[in-house]
Amino acid sequence: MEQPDQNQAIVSLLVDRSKAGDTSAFGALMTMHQGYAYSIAFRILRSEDQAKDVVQEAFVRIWKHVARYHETAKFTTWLYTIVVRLCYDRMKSEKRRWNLFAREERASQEHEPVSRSLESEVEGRDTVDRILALAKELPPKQRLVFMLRDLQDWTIGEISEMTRMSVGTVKANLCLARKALREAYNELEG
Amino acid sequence: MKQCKDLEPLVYLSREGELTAEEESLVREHLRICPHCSSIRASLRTMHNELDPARSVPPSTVNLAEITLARLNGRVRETRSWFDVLLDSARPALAVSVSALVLLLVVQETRDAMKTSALEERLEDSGSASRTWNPLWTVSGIPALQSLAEAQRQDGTDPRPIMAAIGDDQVKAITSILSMIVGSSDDLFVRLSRRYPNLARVTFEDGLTDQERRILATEGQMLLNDLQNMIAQGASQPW
Repeated sequence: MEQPDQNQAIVSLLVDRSKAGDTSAFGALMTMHQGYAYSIAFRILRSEDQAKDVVQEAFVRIWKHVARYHETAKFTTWLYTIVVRLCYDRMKSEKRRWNLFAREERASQEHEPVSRSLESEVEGRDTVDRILALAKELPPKQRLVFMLRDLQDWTIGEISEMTRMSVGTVKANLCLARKALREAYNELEG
Repeated sequence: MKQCKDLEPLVYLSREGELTAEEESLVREHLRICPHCSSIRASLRTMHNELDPARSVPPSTVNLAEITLARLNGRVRETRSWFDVLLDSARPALAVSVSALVLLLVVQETRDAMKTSALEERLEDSGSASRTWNPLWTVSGIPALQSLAEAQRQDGTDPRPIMAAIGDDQVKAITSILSMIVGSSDDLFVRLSRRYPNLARVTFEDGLTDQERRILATEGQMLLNDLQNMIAQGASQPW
């Protein structure tokens, strides 16, 4: 039990020095947390480049607002919340782009339904890839909750805290995500 | 007993900690008798297991902390770049210049507006019943007329036309003065319209438009000046 306390004390010290404008202290703080922040972003976005971008963006945000940070919340919770929010924003903009693209595709290929193109897209992939490709088609909220719960094992309460959704909303989105994935997966598996 | 459709959402919340104890026991009871919901639970379990490989994360090939730190330091340097320094030093001068320009424009506009409104006042004071523009209204109340009348009175010349101009029927009197100067009133208006081609367009219907204000500020003012000069110089013909 001594290790977490020690870590907490180090984090507090580094945060205080960062607040005073010490970039090397902030560098140490980033080094301590970059691995985990990256793994969260990667598991949600499934893209190395995007995950790297998100983590950097999160660190820059934290540097900008570090003066506002109060010890009432754990630093890691604050960091992961920012990472998750940035991932969610990315998924939303990705979805918007995809919807636009899908509309253009539909207009140019009126006789080919979208589900058919998705089917051909996931065909030939591993089962994991298939499920993840299907998950990418979920609405951003459902996708985010599914990724946090089923790929990262965060509890419903933790997800609620990070995403600022109520526990009921988290459960509802998780239920809808699993239902949609199961149905789509069964359909593809035939 | 609860039906599938009521319990189905709870069936999808299949992992530990997702349901309350009460919900858990309801679902457990239901699964015992419902093959459909049991198959859902089974397939969810399978799907969850299938995702095992996706839980591992390839390590990041770059040091994100280092890159971000360089970015942050770059940002600090960026704010001290020559352009920012130049902008910072030029900012007060720029602010003063812009303020001066704005002030100049405001003064110019105010002067124009004052000129136009002074002209308007004179026009409104002319007291004519007609709503159609008559360029001769412009001369009503010209102090030069009064000075000239006074001078004529002192010289012993007949001041009547001038006095009439300042009396009740101003338009008629001034027309008579101008007619006397240029020969005939018809000729006068032809000459007037040649020199002030736009002035006749100005009416007082629904107030003055911007264009009418501009005409008054230019041709109206020119007419005033011409008349003042004409009276002062003893009936020379500016037209």
